[in-house]
Amino acid sequence: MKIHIFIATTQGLVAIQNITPIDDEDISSVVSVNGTSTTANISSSYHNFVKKGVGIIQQMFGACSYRVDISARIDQGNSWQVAMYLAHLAQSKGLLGNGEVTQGDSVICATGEVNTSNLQVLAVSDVAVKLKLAQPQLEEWSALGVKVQFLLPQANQSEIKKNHYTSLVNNLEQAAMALPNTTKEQSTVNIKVKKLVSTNSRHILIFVGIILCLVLAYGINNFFYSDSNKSQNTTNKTNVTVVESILKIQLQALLKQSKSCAKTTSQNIALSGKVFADLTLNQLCELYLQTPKSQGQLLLIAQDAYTVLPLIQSPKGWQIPLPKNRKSHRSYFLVTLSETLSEAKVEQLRLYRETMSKPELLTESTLADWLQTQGVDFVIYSHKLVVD
Amino acid sequence: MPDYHYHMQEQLFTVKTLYRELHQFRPEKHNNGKPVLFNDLVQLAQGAPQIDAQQVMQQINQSIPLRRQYMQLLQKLAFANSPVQAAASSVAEINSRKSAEFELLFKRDKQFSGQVYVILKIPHTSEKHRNQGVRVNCCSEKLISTMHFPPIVDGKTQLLMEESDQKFINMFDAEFAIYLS
Repeated sequence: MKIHIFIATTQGLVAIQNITPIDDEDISSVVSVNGTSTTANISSSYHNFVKKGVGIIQQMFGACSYRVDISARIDQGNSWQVAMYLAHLAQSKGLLGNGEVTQGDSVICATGEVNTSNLQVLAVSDVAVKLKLAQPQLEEWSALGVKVQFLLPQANQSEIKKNHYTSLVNNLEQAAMALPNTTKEQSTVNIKVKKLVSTNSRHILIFVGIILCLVLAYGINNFFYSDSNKSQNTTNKTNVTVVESILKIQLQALLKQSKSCAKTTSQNIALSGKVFADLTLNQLCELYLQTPKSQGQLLLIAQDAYTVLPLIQSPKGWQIPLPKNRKSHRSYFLVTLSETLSEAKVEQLRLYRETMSKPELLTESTLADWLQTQGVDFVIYSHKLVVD
Repeated sequence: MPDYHYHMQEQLFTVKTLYRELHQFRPEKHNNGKPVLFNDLVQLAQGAPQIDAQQVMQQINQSIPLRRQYMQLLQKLAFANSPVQAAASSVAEINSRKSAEFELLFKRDKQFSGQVYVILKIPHTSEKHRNQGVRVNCCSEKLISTMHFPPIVDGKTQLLMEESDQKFINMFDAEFAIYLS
């Protein structure tokens, strides 16, 4: 099932056919028409809509530039912004269709400008015309058995006659709810899980506290009355595994020796607690996390974007992909897992990230909260790549 | 003078007139009666966006005197230039054009391999470049092509082009000089 996103314009509906991350600092984001080299006049506005600091797309979806293909020219205005945001969201979930609607698909048509500071959807002009022009197409899709929605800004409420296609939205969070139920269900599930965790957490904390007291008392007893070898033997088996894994984990960076990465030197990055020392980006060629062979899976979770990436293990270790955008600091978590999470669970983690209004809202503790619900042992490390 | 001499002279006169007409470029007879004025060349060389560049360039490329005049104007008025490149090998294609004032480079689109992003970086831009964009002229002895880039933002501007587009080929041909206006 695909979701087709259409921009409602005064010339009819324009399909968002494809979004490709370019993620190259040199190349600006571009909107091209039908996959040709003809660019739409809104290209420079779209570039600003993506750009970190001015726009929201890079901040939310990670890449510093994108190419978007649309089915027809759009020459002016900013009412494409809500649809473009939804298309990025659908793309990040692997659901974005190419505008060729077939039975069983979903269609979202949208018009609305975005206030990039507070993510509110602003009023736009000519909504009645846009809706009227789209109406025959909406009915045709509806007859085909396609779920059709038409999103409009709440602020334009007085200008339109509501029908069963139209939904009024006030902000991007409400607009995102138009995407398939998985998002809604996921967010509801997360809320339920959180509630369950918080209800049971007191009992768990009391129980863990008692165990810790017992362990401490036992440990102190051994410290005073037994030799060190004995104390090691009595240490909890689970703790031994965790300690061993922490000791053996190494973050290894390959750094340039000259101007290019042809010759490199390797450097182990210091680990303090669970935080690896900051590393400058400009000399960095490759980055690997080396773990014990028994390591089940390693996830990279960006702190400054919504990226959740299962890493691939090579003979050198788990390769950490380096950001193409090297103009700003990049923070991320590395999560070692005792078992491999299924693709569905990784997708659930992505959805959990996306329910946050800003990527920076993810902290080590919120991440740990989610991981605890998955029934796997995990360790969260954090690391920052910095610009000189 | 005998009559047949007059007749012969009349015929020669007609033939010479027709011959001259065929060989002399008359802009007013082409292009819907719009001759290229010197002012049009000046405007184009200065990068004025309101000029119908395609029509003017078509005429410039059909007339050696117009081409010479336009080249002289570019040399006087251009904001920056990159001369014909001295290529060390027989391959005339280059990956970038650089001067103290600008850098012109291209990168291929990952999805559509026949398309390229042509990126023009100008670190120190004028207000005109930020408001009206930049005109890039590619000049060889036999051909001049021109492209208008959108206004500069954050020190750069770009065009998405087909790799097979002759204007793109000229930009990265070592035998073409580049003039920016």
